[in-house]
Amino acid sequence: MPGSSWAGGLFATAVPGAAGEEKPAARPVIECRDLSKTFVVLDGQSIWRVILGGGCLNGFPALRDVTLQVRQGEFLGVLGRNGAGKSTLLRTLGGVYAPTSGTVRVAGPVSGIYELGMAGNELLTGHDFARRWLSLHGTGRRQIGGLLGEIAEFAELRDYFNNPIYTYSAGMKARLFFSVATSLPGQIYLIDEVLSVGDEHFQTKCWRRLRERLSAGASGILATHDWAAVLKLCREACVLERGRIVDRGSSSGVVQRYLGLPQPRGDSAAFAPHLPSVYCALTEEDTTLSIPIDVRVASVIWFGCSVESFRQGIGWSHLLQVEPRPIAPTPGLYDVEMTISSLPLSPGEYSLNLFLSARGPEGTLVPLDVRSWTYGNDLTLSVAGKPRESVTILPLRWRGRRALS
Amino acid sequence: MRSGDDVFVAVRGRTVQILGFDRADALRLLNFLKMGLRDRFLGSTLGLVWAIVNPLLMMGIFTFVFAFVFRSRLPGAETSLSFVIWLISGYGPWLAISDSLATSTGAVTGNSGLVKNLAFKTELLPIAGSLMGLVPLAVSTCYLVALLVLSGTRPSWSWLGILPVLVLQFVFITGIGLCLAAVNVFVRDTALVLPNVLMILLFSSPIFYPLSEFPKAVQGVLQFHPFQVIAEGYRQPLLHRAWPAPWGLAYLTILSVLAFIGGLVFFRKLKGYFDARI
Repeated sequence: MPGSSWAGGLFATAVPGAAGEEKPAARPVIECRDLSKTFVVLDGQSIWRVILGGGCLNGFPALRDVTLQVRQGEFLGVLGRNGAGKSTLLRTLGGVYAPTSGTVRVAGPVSGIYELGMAGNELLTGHDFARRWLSLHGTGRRQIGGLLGEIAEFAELRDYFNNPIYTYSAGMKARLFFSVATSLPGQIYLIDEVLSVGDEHFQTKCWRRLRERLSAGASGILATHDWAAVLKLCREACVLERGRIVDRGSSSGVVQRYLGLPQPRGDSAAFAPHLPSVYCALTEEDTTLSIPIDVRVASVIWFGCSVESFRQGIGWSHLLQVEPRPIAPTPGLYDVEMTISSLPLSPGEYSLNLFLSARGPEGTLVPLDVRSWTYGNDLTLSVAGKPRESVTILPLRWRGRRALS
Repeated sequence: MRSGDDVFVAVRGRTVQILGFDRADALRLLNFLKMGLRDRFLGSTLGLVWAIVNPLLMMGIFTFVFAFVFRSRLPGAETSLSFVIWLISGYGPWLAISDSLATSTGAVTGNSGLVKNLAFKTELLPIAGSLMGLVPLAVSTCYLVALLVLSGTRPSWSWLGILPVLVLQFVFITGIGLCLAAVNVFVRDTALVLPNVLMILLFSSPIFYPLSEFPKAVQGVLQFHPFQVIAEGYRQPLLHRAWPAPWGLAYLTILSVLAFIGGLVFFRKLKGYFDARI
């Protein structure tokens, strides 16, 4: 397939800020090693053994030998079903529960959003609740005064801010709580399932707030069963099952394995085993990517490709997508050479996704072999060169012309 | 939230810890006190006014009943008012004690929302609960001083003698409150049984009737009843213009330090299991 060019099915998204920029390794802000937490199971007899001391107690292990680390400016996703130990992990890291064994180190003030329980008197007004929450988190009186206005505005409670909480709807309570708990910047956030509250409008605001906090250097853990949220917010993730970490790695790979997406078997056509995992290129230089494939059937194989980038708090965005093209009409080993003239990507690390497919009966493309972040096996496109302020570099010409008035 | 630091004074880095508490804990305690006061009367129209009116009403009823209905007199006394003054000088501290104990017993279970969502030393909750007893004590003491002045007594410096007793009383009660609060997490019956136990204790101690009215055999033992010692600690300075008996103070000091340290150790031992119940 000679001379297939990017220009064909290229579309570019103009996203502000550079994509996939490389940062130096930040210091870890949350660390735990061999963390275990066992809840004592209490019944009529063991209660007295606890109170009077002595005797052995039966325990339920909620966390077993959990070791993890979160660096400054990163959110770690913790996936797991109900009862997997997500909440226990967050509360133990946040210092609410004492660990049974192992060590926990958290460097900085923690804002724990463990549940949307209001942790307080429903007779309090929203205003007083906010004041109390902040002062219990050690916020000074002057700073509280400054934050209250912002909280009221963000929660969009208007006059209700000065009404007792028992008059609130569930959504209003959630809004108040989220606004208060995320009002302090530069914290370490331990968030449990709360991003699925409120209406769509408020959810968008929640995400925006988290993005702002993230870009200001906040870090934290998001524990949820909502894998889409993990993909959006977290570069790294792990899966908790019965108190153990059973999988960890890049969020996309973890999510793919967590969901158990079927992987195409690559029977009729597959990428060759010596396919490199990293492609290097230079920004705005003519680039040729050579992709080895192995075709085993005598039917037309379609080749497609996309370049995507991940940004924390926003998720994945498509930067370039190549329209699928037919290649290789006969079985054999091929090298698909793809030449891009003047590579329109600014320097950084991108996810390179490759697809081999065949036309199905209805004309749709059926995947035969895939290398993609959705399957956790994407390739890296590493672009070097002079830093740019845009993500994609389009062949544009600019001219400022004075309008005739 | 590691517990078990029972070192009396320790210096960790730049913070000084006393019995495992540091400055941040002191601030938080203050916060809990304000919170407790506020929450108790939250939603009522008069709010904090009740904190003063409630004990005042109680004292007023006692004054009326004993001075005008029963016309009770102390042995050898001439007026009923002196009986009322004697009664309230014992009953006021008692009111504070029962308030302290009731509040601190329910302090952990009643604040489960906080315990589950905030990393802090849970010991602070029953301690703050116990300090809530200061309010009825302050009210009853003011009432008492008013009665004393009405009855023609001149204020005296020896009245300040109640201060060490007051401090010891709260240390002692806080120790017991810590124990009860911890037990109440596991055995919720504690808070339910407490009012009855308090009632029994009230009538078994020389608060409503003088020690001399008890049988001779019991009197010797009752001398060492902590509540009798506390009540006497108030009565000596207020009624007899005398400083509290030194042996009483010494006895109370030993008792309250033992109770407080014991309560704290017991609470810290049990609080590791709170998460199984809250």
